[in-house]
Amino acid sequence: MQIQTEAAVPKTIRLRVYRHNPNLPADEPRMVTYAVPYKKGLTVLDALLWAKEHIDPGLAFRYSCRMGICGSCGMLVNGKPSLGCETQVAELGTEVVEVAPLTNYPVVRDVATDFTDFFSHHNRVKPYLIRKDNGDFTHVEKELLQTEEQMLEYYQFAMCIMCGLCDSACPIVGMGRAYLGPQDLAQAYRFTADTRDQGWSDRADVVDSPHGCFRCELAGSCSAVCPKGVDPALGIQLLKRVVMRRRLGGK
Amino acid sequence: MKESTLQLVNYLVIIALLVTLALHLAMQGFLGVSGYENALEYNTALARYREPLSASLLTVLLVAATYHGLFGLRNILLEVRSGPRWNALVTGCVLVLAIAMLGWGFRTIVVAFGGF
Repeated sequence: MQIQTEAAVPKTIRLRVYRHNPNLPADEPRMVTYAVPYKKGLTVLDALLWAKEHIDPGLAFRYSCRMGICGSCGMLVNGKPSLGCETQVAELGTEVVEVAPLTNYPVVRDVATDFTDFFSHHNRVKPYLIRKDNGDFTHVEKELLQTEEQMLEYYQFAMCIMCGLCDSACPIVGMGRAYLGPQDLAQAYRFTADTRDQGWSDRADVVDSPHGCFRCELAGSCSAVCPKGVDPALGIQLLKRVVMRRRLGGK
Repeated sequence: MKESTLQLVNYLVIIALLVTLALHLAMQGFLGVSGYENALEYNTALARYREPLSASLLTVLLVAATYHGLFGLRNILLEVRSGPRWNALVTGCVLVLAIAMLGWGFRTIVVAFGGF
């Protein structure tokens, strides 16, 4: 990562933002440039907020927490899927900061994208602990204990904030949205690898389908863009191993 | 059929391909009916087909190469578009192609082996 010194960053940055409203037939996609004053620690989301507040109130983008927790402000920053709130202008090292909507998602307006398919896919892998006792804990005598090693099997995948950057970077998702995508498959692994979970039979048909884990070509771009350091590509390969082991009668 | 079953068969086919291809190349030369010099002569090739062991090897190679190649083609085509109808269409076309390729290949082996 190249971080410019404060002196090297211009006092005003040029923010080129994708503008388009698909609901208006006459509205053509275009790039609009805003001059935004630079201050120390300025993030791309800060720059967008400044432009919206001082220049163009109609500028649309999604955000919430502004601290890399909620995963709402995913966008293409200089062509790379990034969180706007975690991307500092100084670390980009370019005179112009280009902001566009995430690829592989339909555009709602400007930089805001539609995550309906993303969440629908997420639900299909049943991303929660499934117990065969069906929530009946009357006979449970103690907690569902785990060793540290057992927890580390899935821990990094539990760090996912569902920002969707991995699906945006994935070339297979780009070819068709029937593919589950790295986020969903990594989450399928996260719960499958959890020793407390008993829901493999509920997930197997989805992850072992023609558009499940075996469609992954291991491009690795999902892992390269994850803002939380999760490695979805690894999760998918581990999921493939689980599927194969279970097919061969193992656990 | 589950995707993992197809993938598992593909792994086995890859092993079969490695073995049969190595044997096939070896049989073109030092293990075969002639040396390297005459390996591609018409009569030499025909003689290889008439050897039961060689003909069996070619049969395994034909099945393995057809499966491996068409499985790869199916994977590529499933990435081009997506959806249940496209899946069914691609899988159907690949199956038809497999039957045609295996039919033609078996015919060649049987005709040459039988000396027709």
